[in-house]
Amino acid sequence: MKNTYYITQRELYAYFASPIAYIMMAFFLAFSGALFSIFFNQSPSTAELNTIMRGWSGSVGFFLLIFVSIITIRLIAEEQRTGTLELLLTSPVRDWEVVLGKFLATAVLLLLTLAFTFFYILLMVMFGGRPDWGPVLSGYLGLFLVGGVAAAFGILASSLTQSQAVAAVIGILVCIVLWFLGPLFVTSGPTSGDWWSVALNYASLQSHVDSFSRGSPDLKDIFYYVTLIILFLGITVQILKMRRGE
Amino acid sequence: MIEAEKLTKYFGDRAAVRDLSFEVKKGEIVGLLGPNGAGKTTTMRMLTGYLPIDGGRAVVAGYDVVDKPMEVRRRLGYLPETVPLYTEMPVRAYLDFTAKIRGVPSKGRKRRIEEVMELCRITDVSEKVISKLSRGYKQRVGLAQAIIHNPQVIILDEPTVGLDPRQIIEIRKVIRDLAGNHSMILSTHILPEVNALCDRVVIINRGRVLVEDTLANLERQGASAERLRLEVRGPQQAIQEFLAQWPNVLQVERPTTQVTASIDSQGNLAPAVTGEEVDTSLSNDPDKTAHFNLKVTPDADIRESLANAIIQQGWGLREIGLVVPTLEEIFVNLITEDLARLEEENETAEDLEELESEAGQPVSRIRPAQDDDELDELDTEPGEIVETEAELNSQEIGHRQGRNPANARQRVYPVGKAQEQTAGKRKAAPSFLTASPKDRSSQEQDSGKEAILPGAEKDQNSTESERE
Repeated sequence: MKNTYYITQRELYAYFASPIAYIMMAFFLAFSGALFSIFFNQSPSTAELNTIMRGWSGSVGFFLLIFVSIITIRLIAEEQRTGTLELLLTSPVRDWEVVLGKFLATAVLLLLTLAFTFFYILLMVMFGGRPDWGPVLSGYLGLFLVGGVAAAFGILASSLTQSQAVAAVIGILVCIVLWFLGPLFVTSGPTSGDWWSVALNYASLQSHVDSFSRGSPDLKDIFYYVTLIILFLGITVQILKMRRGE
Repeated sequence: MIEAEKLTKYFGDRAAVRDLSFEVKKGEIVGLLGPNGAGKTTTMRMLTGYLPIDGGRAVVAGYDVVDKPMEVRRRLGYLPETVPLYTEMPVRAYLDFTAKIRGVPSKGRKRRIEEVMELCRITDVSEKVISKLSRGYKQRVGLAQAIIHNPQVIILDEPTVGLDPRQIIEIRKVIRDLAGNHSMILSTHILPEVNALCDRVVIINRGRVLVEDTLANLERQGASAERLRLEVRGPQQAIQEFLAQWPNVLQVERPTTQVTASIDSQGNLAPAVTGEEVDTSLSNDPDKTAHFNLKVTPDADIRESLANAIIQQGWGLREIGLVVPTLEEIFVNLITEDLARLEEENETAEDLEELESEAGQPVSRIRPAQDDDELDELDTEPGEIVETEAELNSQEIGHRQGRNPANARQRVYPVGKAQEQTAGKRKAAPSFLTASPKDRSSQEQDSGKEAILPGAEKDQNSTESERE
């Protein structure tokens, strides 16, 4: 576990040493701010704080996916290209410690980014808004989990190739597909009752966000996200083992 | 400290390393020597546990690499061929990270980092970001990383590659300082490096050990067939005849050109002609000087008697000396022998003929035989009578070995073909798409040289560097 901590530390260092993390944070915060303004304009009153935050956290997830996909692409691909992966894998560190360390570093960056959006609530409280903390925090939890899935998948995509461009394309496309699976096939179509439609809806990242932003997170939704994260990280560890032969 | 026992590694169905066995004792520095692509890096990666082992066994620092990988890694320092640096970090932070993951206890870690930086002579750049460092410094940071946890075993993959001579000397100093306390294995294809650093050498080619011996033994072995070098002023025809009749002289040669050999990634020998063509025609002008190489029977030092005799003949003796084979020559000989063995194993006479005709005719002297009769003419000297079948066979082998470097070269560099290809390429695509102006000019230079041997050699080198 100590090793995981060391690797997390180093990855955080790398995040803040490269401009890409700052650029992507700025990008995300810009879109997130725009979304916030849109929802605020729909009900321009600080009394509606919870409605506004619910709308925001229900829809900002998509940008979070893109943000996380892009910051995670370099995690393994770059180490493979520069040869530092050989350093890690010949040190007394286990493969899963490497992968977990990278994931945790991304999670910290994700938390930090989400913390910036607390500014919206602060602003509304200053002008007399009274938040109902339950739904607000559960909305954040939902966003954090969505970001976690994207991070896990980003690391997986990153382990597939030395080329960061390829990793980025894979990561972003799959995240987009996962996001839109539900809305594409389910919401109000004639097939909404079929078994495969239900299954696809369940597999969609977005369909699990609602319960969080409504303020009543379902345990099975948390379970869904956590399972995906563990699955993707587990696959990454296996890929690292397999790719050693190359 | 390191025991490799019948190590085997397959890439696809090609064996990159096959039944490779050797040993490194405590405190020893062993040089792993071989042409590019011989399997040095693969072997080292198996020893470090980075690559899974397909067959055989490796024990490092007393632990089996497969069964106890963590124990091995704790006792092992490894510098891969591409130095694994996090270039965005300053040197000290980088070493701190590597020390942590190598399990250097937090108490004393700082002091250890200072020590290692001192040892590797990088203290003056300790706060600099690694990407800003010169190549020599980067290499030394890589070395520092490998020894930070004071490992029992150090594995260095081509530690001096790409450095300038001054930096090479620096790195060697560092490596020498480390010797004694650590068992070390270092790979290289630079022969003087082995001379400078190693106690013992393991020469490998095509994934197998050719020789495992001390340097001194190796040089003694190579010196068994002694040779003499002579420079004499006088009528050359007469001198040559005189020398040939001298007792203990087996053969008299006139050095024609200086040939140095290089070895490419397939382990093939590529003779490159350097220097100027020496006039080999025998003249009887008494004021001309000529060089001779004599093959003499070993253990008979004829230098003094021969020198006296030459002077008595009234010729000017300018130089006489023993030719001691360099490590380089020994190495090239070993690889050449190994290649000859490969030819024996794999190729029938038909294949050889086919290859020769494929290769075109870069030099007019070498061309495919028209028919069997012509081959016979070439193989046996006129007037020479072969008594037994065994004798005939042995002659053939000798002949083939002698010609092997030429064959090998032809196999890798089909000169005529290469020329066609580049010409075709240039036609197919507009040049601004395929190459920058600078590239184009060098391409043209190459194609101009392809007609002669060094050009082909150069072409091969450049494609190789591209691949890397």
